[in-house]
Amino acid sequence: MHDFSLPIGPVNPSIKEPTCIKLNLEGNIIREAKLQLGYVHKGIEQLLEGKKIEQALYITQRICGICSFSHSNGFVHSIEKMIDYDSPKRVKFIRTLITELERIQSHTLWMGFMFHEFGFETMFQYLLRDREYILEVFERVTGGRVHHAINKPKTVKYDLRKQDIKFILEKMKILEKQFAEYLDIVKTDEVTKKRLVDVGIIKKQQAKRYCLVGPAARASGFNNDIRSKHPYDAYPYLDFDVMVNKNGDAYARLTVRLMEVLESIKINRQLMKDLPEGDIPKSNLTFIKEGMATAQVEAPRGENFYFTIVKDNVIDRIKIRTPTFALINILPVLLENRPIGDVPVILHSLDPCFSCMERVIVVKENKREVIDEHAFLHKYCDQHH
Amino acid sequence: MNMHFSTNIVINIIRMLAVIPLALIVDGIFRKVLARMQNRAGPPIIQPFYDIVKLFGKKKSDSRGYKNIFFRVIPILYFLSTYGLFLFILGIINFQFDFIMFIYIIVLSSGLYIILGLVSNSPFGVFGSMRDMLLMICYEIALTICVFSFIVYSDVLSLGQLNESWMILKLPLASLCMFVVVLVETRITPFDTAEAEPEIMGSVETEYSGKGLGLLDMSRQLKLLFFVIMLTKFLFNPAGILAFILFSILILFILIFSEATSARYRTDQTFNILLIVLLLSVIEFIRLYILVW
Repeated sequence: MHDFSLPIGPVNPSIKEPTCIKLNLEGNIIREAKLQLGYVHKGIEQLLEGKKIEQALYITQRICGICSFSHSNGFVHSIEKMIDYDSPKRVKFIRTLITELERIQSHTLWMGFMFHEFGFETMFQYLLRDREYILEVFERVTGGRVHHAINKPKTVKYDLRKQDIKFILEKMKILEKQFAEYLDIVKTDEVTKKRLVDVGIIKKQQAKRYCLVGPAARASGFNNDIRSKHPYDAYPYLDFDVMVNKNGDAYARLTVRLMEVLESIKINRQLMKDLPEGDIPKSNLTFIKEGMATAQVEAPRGENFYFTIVKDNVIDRIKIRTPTFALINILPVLLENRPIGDVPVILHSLDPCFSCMERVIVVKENKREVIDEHAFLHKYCDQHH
Repeated sequence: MNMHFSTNIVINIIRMLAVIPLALIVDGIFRKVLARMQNRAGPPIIQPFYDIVKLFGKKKSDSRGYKNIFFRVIPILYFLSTYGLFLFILGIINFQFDFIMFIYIIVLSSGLYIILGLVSNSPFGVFGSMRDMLLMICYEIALTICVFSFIVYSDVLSLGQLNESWMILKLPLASLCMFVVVLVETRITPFDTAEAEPEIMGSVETEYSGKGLGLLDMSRQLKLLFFVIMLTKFLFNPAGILAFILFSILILFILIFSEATSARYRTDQTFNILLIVLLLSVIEFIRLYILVW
């Protein structure tokens, strides 16, 4: 028996993208939470089918507005694996630089919204200001503030200039000072602690069972950082720590991300110091007769997995597993038996990004199709079918 | 005598009318200073005037709750009850034991706010009301005890005779409790639980629009001004109008500072803190009992 049900979304201040969580409540306590997806299905995988590699690159860069580089990097890596190509060291370093800058940018934005969720508007504004420093760097280095489309198969579009390096180091210095201060605030502010400590606890065993990825898994003591487990790009040449926290609550997820920003700043300093001299190769078209490859990259939210099949120079099939897809299944479990005031905090502590994750899942048992209502609408209302 | 009486009425009417633009300007200053603290440009100080003019120019709401008569009437009553509080604090109404009616009208205003949510036919409105109802059990009683403490300490029979200065030093616990209650009443972090936007959307105000929302907005602004004046009067009560204004600005600044530098407590945490506040106010009253009698 439930008192009444409350819909969170599809339009709600606590959800930045359209999705719906239906809560069944007993007084102030949530007894049952149901997640309803399907509001921002873009059909990106089907859109990519039949596209040439260069065309597909443009689409993959636009899957996510926050981790756009991670998507293009995953795709490019899968293509490079097919043609068995190892890109020059300088290209690898530039790619790693953009990846890490993107991580800082994404975590900063996430932290801002996280503070907004429990009413700390000042921190939200401050963090948005700090994100601007990174966007300035992006604008200078890649020409685009949000869609920093710098990646190409086998190379990158623009080389890094000497004055850029100086500019980046300057900005890193400012950010390091700011984030050390924020870490201090998070560690000392009583209200923040009260809102986050022991909220939405994920144990290590649970994290493994639900196949969590990224900072959410690392906050539960489950280290699955692709950067250290399966190093790609310039990560084998770098010396960095992976931030792991054993507590597994929302507070651990906040501190892990804060520490990761500081670590990313360190990585960027190393990259600038050890950047190899030389030119980057000129870009040319890639032709692949037949090939199949997978690639993993560590996006800000966690593992980004690409599985690509190419036939006759066009994409035959592509499967993209974004981090949110792994993270979101645990949400209804975390919400159970929590007061309604914890919903925004728990939801946001997982850092969901629905628009890049939404897929239609059709499970076929013999001839019977098991299909979600929204998935059904999307599948059978699509003109392609 | 008659002449004197009529000029008095005219002055009082002017004072009451001046309260509304003053409240809007105070809200404008609040928003501007808060924005500057948060590294934003912020709206112009006269932004609340634009907002109110715009809201009052809107057509009637299409909300389903609009068919309910209470949905239309309660915003007006809420506004009037909040507005009526100024009659006491400005000394326009003055009779023996008027502080009982004063407290009654504060509670009436809070009660009407709760009904606002309940009649709005929205689960979020109901949630806002439920939260406020839960907290009201503590904060209104604490406020009542605080006001009684101040009155008893000053040994007067009406609010207008309250002339004791620097009560913050003489009754520190009651002053602290009153300050916390004001934070809850004016929905300033860390105690804006009843209006937690990411948690329960617009809370009580979710379904309101147009003139109704305009009245609610104005009531909120009036409440802010009222509690600033009330705190200044009870805690400091300095001699001279200029000193009074200076201390009001100081209290406004402290409220803005609180809004800018803290996060929001959850409902149960706010409730626990308010229980402590209630306990402290009772302790202060007992202390006063030993002190006075």
